[in-house]
Amino acid sequence: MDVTRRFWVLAAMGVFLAAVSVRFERPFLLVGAAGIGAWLIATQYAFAWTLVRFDDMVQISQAVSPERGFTTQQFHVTLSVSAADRLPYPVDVSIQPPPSVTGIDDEPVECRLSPADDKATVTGTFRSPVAGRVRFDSPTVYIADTFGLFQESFRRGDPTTATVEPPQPTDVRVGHGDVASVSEGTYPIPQGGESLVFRSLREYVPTDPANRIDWRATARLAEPQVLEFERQTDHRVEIVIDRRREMTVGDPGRTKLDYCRAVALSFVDGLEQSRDPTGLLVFDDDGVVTVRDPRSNREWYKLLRTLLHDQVDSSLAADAAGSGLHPSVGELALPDAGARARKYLATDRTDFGRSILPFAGTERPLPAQTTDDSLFSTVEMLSKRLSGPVVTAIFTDDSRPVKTRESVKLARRGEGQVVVFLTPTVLFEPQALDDVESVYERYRSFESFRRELDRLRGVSAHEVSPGGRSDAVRAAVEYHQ
Amino acid sequence: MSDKVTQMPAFVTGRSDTRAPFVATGLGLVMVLLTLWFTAGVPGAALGIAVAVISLLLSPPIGFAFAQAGLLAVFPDGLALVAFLLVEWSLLLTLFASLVRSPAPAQTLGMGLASLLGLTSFARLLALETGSAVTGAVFVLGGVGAVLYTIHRFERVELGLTEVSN
Repeated sequence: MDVTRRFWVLAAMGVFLAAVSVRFERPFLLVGAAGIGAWLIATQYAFAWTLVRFDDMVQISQAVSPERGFTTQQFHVTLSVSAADRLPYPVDVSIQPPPSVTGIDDEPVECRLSPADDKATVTGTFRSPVAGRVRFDSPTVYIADTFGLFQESFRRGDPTTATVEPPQPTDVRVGHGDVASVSEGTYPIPQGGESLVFRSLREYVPTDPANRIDWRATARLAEPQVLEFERQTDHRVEIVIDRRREMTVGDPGRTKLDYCRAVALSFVDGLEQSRDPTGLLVFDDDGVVTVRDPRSNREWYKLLRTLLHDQVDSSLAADAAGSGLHPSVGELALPDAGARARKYLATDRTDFGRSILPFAGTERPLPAQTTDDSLFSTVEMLSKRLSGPVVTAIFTDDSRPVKTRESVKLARRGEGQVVVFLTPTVLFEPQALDDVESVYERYRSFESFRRELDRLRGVSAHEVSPGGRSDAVRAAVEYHQ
Repeated sequence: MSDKVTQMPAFVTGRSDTRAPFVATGLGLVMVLLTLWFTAGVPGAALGIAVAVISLLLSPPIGFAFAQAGLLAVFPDGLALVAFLLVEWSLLLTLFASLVRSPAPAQTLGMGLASLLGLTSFARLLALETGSAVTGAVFVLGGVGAVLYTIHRFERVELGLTEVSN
């Protein structure tokens, strides 16, 4: 416990009386010093007597609502303090928000349980601009004694946590006309041939089937050995993502680009399971901003997801469109910078150099933009860089149908396959559902464009849209009809 | 039955009556005034009034300390044993009456009185044995400090604010 200034004043008086008692040889003054000392001991004992019974007398709880939300959302933390018996002193209890959250009220959230009350509740409102787990530590209790001599503060009650996520689409619909293409998280991935390839040799363990023992290796190494294989497919996948200005249409965190990113991430999950070599190409209004050759090792898929989170971002697209410059996401995002870095790192034999080499991108220089449509020029560049059968997954919208159609045809070249994920602009506009008739007409145009693409040989076209709005449009039209 | 429980005295229920401290302190101050008047005449009565005012305006411990210093002025040649017992008893009554406001008055008063008796008895014993008033004064100050620190550590450990080994 801590002592207050008033305590030190009384203690000083006791010392003064003792000193005067000695100086003037008056023993009765020592009784005065002892009296003040005894009084201080008694009051401190009374305070400690209350504190050690605190847990039996007071219950403190806190709860955060909602337990899971987004960075744009407000969180409410409710603190409840109740007393089983009447308290001798008032108790102040305050919530301990982490530094990452901002209080909407900008005042400490605390409640006072006075001796006359048996319950007190307070609710604080917070917002967390940072995604992650937000932990509210155990509330802090502050209590002081009646005479103002002693005070104590300590933590009581359980901590509570909330999970804060960046704003993201939660109702992604990947449709193929009226039929959803997605069921239980499976995405339309074209299937190619597959084969088993040798991965490693390891010692036999009793749970292995006996027919997997490799007798030659066993004879050579004098211990039973088994061969391990893994499945490998023979087609490569190139993910092409449109990050142009038109892809930023939509509410914050729920733009066309955000929906495309969500689908692309799930698409990558499926590709990782089949270990398809997968590359990435992101372009905006000025051309290609990120290019990575297809790879299939486990670290690559992890990196691919990171790239999708970092590069496929509405704020970057909006910034680039606004400034007319490439987004400032680091030099390695620029194709020529990646090539330069790779050339330099190729001669770097240090652990650091070897570790960041895979992040440096392609070693081949990118061709200059040849047409006024960046999707077309990107696909054109892709067709020159990659040979053999390639599955191209294009994430774009319906704002430039003619150019998109030409780009898809170009991507399909030879025996290649193309999967197009199209976002209908009409379903992302903020006032989209105000005029149902108009919305339906525009949606029909989109659907006819999607079907047109879908009818092309080797092409599969899917709609990516907010499920709620898509259903609302259909329901509204059915109601009017 | 429930009526009987609520009528139980504060030292049983652990609750303090809000009027009791003021009544006890008031009675104590009246006794201080009377005993000082009786033992020292008008100067004593003046001191008693000053002690009452300080006790009520500031706090009983400050009034108690002021009274001790005032005794030095009122009785420059020292107090007779009877006068000493009367005055100190009434002053201590005023001082400890304020403890009735504490959450456990019986335990608190018991602790206060035991501390007072222990401190004064051992201080006097030491002073007589060693023939030095300094020893007694050091014992009082050291003893109070030791007990205060012990209670402080006990409270910290009981609340889980520190490790026992610390």
